[in-house]
Amino acid sequence: MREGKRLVAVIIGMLFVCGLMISCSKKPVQGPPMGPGLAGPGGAGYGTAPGSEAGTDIGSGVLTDEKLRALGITTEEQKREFLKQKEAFENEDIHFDFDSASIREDAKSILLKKAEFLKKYPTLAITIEGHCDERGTSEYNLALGERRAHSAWQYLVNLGIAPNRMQMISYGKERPIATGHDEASWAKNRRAHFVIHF
Amino acid sequence: MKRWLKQFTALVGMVLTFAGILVWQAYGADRVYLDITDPSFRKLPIAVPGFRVDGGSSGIGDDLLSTAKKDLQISGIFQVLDSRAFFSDPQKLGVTAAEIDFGQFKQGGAEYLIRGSYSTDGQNIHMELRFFDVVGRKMLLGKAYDGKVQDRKLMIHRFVDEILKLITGEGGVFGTKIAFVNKEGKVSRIYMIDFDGSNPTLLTPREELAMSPSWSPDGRFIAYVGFRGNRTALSILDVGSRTVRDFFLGGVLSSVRFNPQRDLIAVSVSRPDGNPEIVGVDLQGSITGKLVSGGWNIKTSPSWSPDGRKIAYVSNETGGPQIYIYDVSTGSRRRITFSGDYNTSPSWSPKGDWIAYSGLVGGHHHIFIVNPETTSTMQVTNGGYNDEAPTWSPDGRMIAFQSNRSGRNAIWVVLRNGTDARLLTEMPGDQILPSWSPRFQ
Repeated sequence: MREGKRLVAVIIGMLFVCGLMISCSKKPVQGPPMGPGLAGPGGAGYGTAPGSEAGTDIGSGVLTDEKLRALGITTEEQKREFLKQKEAFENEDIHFDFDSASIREDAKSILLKKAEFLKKYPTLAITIEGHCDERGTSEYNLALGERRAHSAWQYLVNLGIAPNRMQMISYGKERPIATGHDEASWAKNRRAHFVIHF
Repeated sequence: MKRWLKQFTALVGMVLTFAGILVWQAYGADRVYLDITDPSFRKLPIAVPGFRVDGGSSGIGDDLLSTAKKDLQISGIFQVLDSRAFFSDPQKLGVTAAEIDFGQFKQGGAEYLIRGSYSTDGQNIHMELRFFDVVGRKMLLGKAYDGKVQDRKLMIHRFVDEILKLITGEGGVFGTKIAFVNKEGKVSRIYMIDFDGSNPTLLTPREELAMSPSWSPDGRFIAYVGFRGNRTALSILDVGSRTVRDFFLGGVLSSVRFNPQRDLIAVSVSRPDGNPEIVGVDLQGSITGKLVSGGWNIKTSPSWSPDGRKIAYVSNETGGPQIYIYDVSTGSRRRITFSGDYNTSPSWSPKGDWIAYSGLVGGHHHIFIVNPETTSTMQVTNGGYNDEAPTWSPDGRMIAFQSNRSGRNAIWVVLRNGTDARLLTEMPGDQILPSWSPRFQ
């Protein structure tokens, strides 16, 4: 039952990505909404201070054929295999107990798969996002989300992934995926989420 | 902000004290101020009849009266009596001690009285405000103001501030602002609003996600955590020019707080190769030193003591979050919350006598205050909803915080003893993480 659901999700995901690739190929590449160094009109606005580090380029978010070739993907079969694994990588979160940043047993196998994926495609860089449920207070949750992202980061580093491939951020309780006010929703929101930079 | 300052400065220049000597005689050097924090304190009943129009337009009388009443109510010191019980026609009521029938007010239960009169001439206004002791049958304070009609509320704010100084020895929160985060959908931006809930103003129209606003001691800047793609920045907003500078400190930021004495910001940051720590950062974005460090555990929500020498902060080193004080000069550290297993968001009072925080009790977060020396604790708010993120008014009489008591999150203000809850923000979205400004000089 679960496997079936997952398969459907993967197929839908693949279709979605294929659709994106087609539909986006003609569009100008756009950056994230609040990219670093975004200058306001007339010079008054946001600026990156001199001397601040460049950070990891999170890219345009659009997966082009060119980017696939850079990952060593040249055949349709390789592409199918990559997209399948990519979907799993980005869709499968790891979850945490309330007010805890400890890696649970059920998260370890997921992280192992993520490490294998990152080893298979060694030029990929990712961001690990830490999230919390709504019960904690806003600012403390930002700190807790960071600890969750860091736990996942540390686990992947221990599995041999280069630290500089993985950026971290915490959204605290500001970006819930489940909006209910019950344990089922809270459990889904206590997560580390993984995003690939393209 | 600049407009406010200009108006205020101009106004101060125009104020004429015509009863300074009288005030001095009434309240000598041995004046004992009213301690409104005393548990036995009873609000002072005050009558505020309508303003007398001495010439020009009479259209602003209601506005003046409601401003005066609201200011007095917000102070937490006065109980404003229904003035209709006293008079039908304020035009016929005198404004000086000689003209006033104090017995009438005394009978109505008033111990104090404010009489106002004004005249307008085009865009200009002349206003006279008098504050009387009904029992002693004398004027305690009298001021005349000349200025623009549009500045009429400032005149009243200023007069009520003078009354508070006279009665309690310290001015009120007139002219202060409260910065906060407004969440609408996925967009979280910094706003500020006047102390009385007027003039909500968007400060960071370009932000997607901003958290943890904190005023600089001179009120010129608001520091906050700005989300930039997949990174967090220490963002410093110049409130006057609305420009923002970003500084990336090489890690994930969870909270920032200005030192109340100087241009130094405590930043909770966690870098990949290190542990979460609280560092000091100057206005150029340079890290000046580590403030609180060591161990894998969370260290966030730094709140400076008024002298800028100690930091209250949250750590989860014993499991759930608790509040600790770190002495920057000695490096000593101690825990101050021992009740409950989820205590966060410390905020040190302007006089240093209390630290407000949010504690989880009975499944809900509520505002508590704890004495940093004795660790004795008092619960300020209660009920079946969540109150979080307290911040003190500059006079220490009030606490603003976020609460979902109206269904959504909004900023509320209570007196320190938990009474007189007042909704500050009436706008779409959720308002969280308030930071009360200093008094603007």
